Amino acid sequence: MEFTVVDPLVEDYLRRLDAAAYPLGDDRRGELMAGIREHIEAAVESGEVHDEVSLRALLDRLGDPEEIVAAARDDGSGATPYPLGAPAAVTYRRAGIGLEITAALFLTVGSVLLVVGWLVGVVLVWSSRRWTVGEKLIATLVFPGGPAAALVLAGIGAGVTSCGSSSVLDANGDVVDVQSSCVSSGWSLPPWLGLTLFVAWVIVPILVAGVLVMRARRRADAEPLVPVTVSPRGTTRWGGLEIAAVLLLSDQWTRTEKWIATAIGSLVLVVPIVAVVGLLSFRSL
Amino acid sequence: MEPGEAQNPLTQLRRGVIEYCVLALLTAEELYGFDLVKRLGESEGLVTSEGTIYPLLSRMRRAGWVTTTWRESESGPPRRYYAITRSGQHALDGFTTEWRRFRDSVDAVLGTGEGHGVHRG
Repeated sequence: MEFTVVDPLVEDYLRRLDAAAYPLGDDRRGELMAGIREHIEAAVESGEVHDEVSLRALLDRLGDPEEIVAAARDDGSGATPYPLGAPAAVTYRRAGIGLEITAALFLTVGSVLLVVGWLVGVVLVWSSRRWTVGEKLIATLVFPGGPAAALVLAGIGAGVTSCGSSSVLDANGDVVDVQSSCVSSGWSLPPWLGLTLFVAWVIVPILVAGVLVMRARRRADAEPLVPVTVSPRGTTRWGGLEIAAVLLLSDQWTRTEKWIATAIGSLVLVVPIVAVVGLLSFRSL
Repeated sequence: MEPGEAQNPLTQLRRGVIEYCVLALLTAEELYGFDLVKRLGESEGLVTSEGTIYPLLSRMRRAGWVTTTWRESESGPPRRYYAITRSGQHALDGFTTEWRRFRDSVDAVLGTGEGHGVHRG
């Protein structure tokens, strides 16, 4: 122990480190100094350092104080430049398409938030630089309210038919006849129109969203890689929305598999809608 | 960037992967700094300046990837032991997948792989 404290080599090394670490601020400088000091002490304790030669070798392996501090400054806060000449610990990832995925989700699933969800989706679509104007128009026009609008529409169509019945009694008070009448106060869709609307409102938006996201992915792949400074947020760059869409982005599946999965996913979306519509229709009978 | 560093292409790569090597070592057991650095040093070419591991550990601690606990040692002052957190494990898992793909791709292009090509969906 005494050895590390009194040895001029160590003293000099720690003094240089302390001076170089000044810009780090007290907390991080203290932590760094403590770590390095501990390291040297542990080396002495373990017997690895027992004379000047082995001590010099240890300090050599630890590296230049400036280099260590440069590594410390590279904390991803972005606030500190690198005047000491060390490159940042930067990794690269392919350009993300979080915006496009979010837009697609708002235009489809997000339309459950009536009008608002769809509006947000449209705004996001137009703020993307990975779609052409034509594609943006398609995205805007093909979703007139999104699948949720179809649900509401179906609900209105089914809910406006009200039925009543009245009993006809004979002189003894027995029921001799029941007369039923239905009054349709709104309108109901002929089957062919319902089917067309269903396809236009539910299936097409989902397909278009899928195609547009894939195109955005392909275009993003052609862009330069995005540098990611290793930061406290580290690799947690996946938001919930992106995870929901990870299927379409994965390299682990073929395109066909993605289509199949998308179809299944669409069914999952469609079945509840059909169920709700069916229930509403049934109740109104 | 100094010219010398620009000339060694592995410098950047090393900086990118070293923290995951630290995480991987910590999955097996909790280690204190000196031990950790020695373990890393056993693999050739992973660490050039051992001292840079300490700022790295500090950064990983602030990122929540590792936690530290002080423990008494048989001789000498207490030591700071590092343990991997769930978030660190998560980061390591993600990197491991990415790394395999990256490594295979580079191997395939350089012709240094074991015959398996790049897999693309």
